[in-house]
Amino acid sequence: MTYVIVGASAGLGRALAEKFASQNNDLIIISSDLRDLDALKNDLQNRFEVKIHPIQMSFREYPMDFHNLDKVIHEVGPILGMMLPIGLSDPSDNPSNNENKTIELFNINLICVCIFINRYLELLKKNKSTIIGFGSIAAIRGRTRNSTYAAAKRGLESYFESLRHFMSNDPVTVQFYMLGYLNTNLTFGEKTIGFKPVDVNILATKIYNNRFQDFGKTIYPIYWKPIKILLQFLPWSLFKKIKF
Amino acid sequence: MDLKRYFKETSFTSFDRSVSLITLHQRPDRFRMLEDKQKIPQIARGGGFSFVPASFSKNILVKEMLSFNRILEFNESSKIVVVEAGITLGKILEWSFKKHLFLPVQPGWPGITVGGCIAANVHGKNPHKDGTFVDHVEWIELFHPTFGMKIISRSNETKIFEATCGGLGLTGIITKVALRLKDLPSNSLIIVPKKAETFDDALRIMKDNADQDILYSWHIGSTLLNFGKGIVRVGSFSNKNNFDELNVPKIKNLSSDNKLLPFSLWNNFSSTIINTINRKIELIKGNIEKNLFSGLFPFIDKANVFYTLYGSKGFNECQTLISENQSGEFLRDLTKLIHSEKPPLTLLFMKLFKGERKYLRFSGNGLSITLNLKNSSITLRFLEKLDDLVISYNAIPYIIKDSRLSKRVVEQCYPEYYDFKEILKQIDPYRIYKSEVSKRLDL
Repeated sequence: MTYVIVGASAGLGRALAEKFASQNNDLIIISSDLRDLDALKNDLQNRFEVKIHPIQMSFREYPMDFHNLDKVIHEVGPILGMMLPIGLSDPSDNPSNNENKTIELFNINLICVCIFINRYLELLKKNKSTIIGFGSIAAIRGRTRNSTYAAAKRGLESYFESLRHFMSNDPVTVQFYMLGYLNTNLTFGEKTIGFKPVDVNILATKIYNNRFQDFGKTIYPIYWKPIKILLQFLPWSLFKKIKF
Repeated sequence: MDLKRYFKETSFTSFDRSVSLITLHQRPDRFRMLEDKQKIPQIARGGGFSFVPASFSKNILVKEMLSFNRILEFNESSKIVVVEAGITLGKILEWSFKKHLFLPVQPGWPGITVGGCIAANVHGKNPHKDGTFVDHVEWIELFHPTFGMKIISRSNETKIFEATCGGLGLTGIITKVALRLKDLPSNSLIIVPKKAETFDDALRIMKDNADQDILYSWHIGSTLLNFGKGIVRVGSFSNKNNFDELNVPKIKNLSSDNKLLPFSLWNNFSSTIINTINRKIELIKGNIEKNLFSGLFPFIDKANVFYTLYGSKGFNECQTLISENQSGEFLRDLTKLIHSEKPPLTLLFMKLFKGERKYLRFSGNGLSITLNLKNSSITLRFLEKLDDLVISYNAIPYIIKDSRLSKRVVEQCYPEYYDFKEILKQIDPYRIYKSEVSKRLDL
């Protein structure tokens, strides 16, 4: 049984790869740099009794090249799940972005993720499996900063709602995690407005333990739930003054 | 990739708490972040357990290597494992115990990284038997913006290899290391505490047991009462596996940033009382059997409390390696100096050493003497006098232990100080890799 992890070379993706491999699951790990994947593959194969298949693939541009992945997916047998902890934010992302940056941010955070999942839906339906997507608290309410990133992540949330609805009669669990600040390089050096970024290994364990639970959407860490409500109902006169 | 995005300003404190400053910090977690060809002044950092500020400095980018912690290759027949430099000794042991293998040279803390072990050329519990860390290194992959990645070993780029082992991280960033592991004779160690009334007693016992798996002595340092009395710990592998499974426990890491008392609870009075009681208890308990992990890291349960008791002013540690034929005489002169200056000396440790001296590497044949003291003006005056004693005996001080060592002392004690500088100039003409230690020692 094999899981697919997109964005496995660092951050939450790497933590998920380590957690799932430690539980003796074979993996297809995907990222844009094969050197990082090869190092991870060697480490996991040395430490655990697993087979790891690294695939170099970019989500920045469309059309995507599925050739190598298709080949491996058909070789490894049943796919038990796909996790896509992938995303790119840019500190200068705001509504005045140029065309290239806007397209790149939409590709990596939304369009390529949807295309990727759509391609393998029929395959996933054949067995009990899970699809896990990841959003961001940046998408709670649109503001100047991270405008494209937040729009893409809100779009992704909607896509996962539809996906869950579409797969409701199939043995496929669809989950969507809206994530707060995680202790990865994405938050390193960024203002986290007093929130301590959380450990990705703890989150990876939680995701592993709940991988087949049909809860739909969740927010992590949980303390973002009341903040989300507060932000959604904050009067415009106050919200427009928010600078973070 | 905009690498500058992944910088932040972080406050770093040396473990002995002598230096604290804010500088740029980066945590590379993928190769393209590591292989940054920009010639920004920088230094690699591992676990951050060095007593001295060897992994940070003002206006120097700190590259924290902890994400590069993977086991890359393993050859069953040669027992050579290739690891990334940010891997901790604890992680290697966790894996190697399952294969009934281990790395004999283990310094005091399992959170220390392999890169750090090489940069400081650390030693274990019996350097006379096991040598120092360099003796277990087959090759190193080193990154430097001027030459990219390079494999260095005893047969390839020998000079750079020798300068990198014990080179304080100044020759470049160590990225990969091939280590030769050893078969694990069993998973338990028998530790025999032998009573030593004097340093000479301890020296004699150690010479009689030089080839044991574990061998070091600890002594009461306070001149108030029982000065010099101690215990020689002699340990050897048990003939059979007496523990079910060998695990590496989860341990709360040591931190130099703990909230601390503004004063030290260690002084000549408290250290005499505590160490005298500890000595009596250890001798009454007699021989004990420990699992290998506890045997390799005997200080692990007590280290946090021990260092925290020094308070916010921290402590001083100095370690000196003196040649074998002068060790007795040096110990007598050291005893005289301690009695005349009465420094707040908490503990004194001794180990026998065997190895080759090279560049700034703390290695050689002889006796190592470590002094652990409360930081105070009396201590600093005492250590200055000790420096002169060390110079007069042609001994070497361990650079990675002592935050106040001066260029004057190091250039006089290390005959290859200028050769090391010359190699740095050749491989790093822009002097990209710098730390507070390298600045202080004018390297």
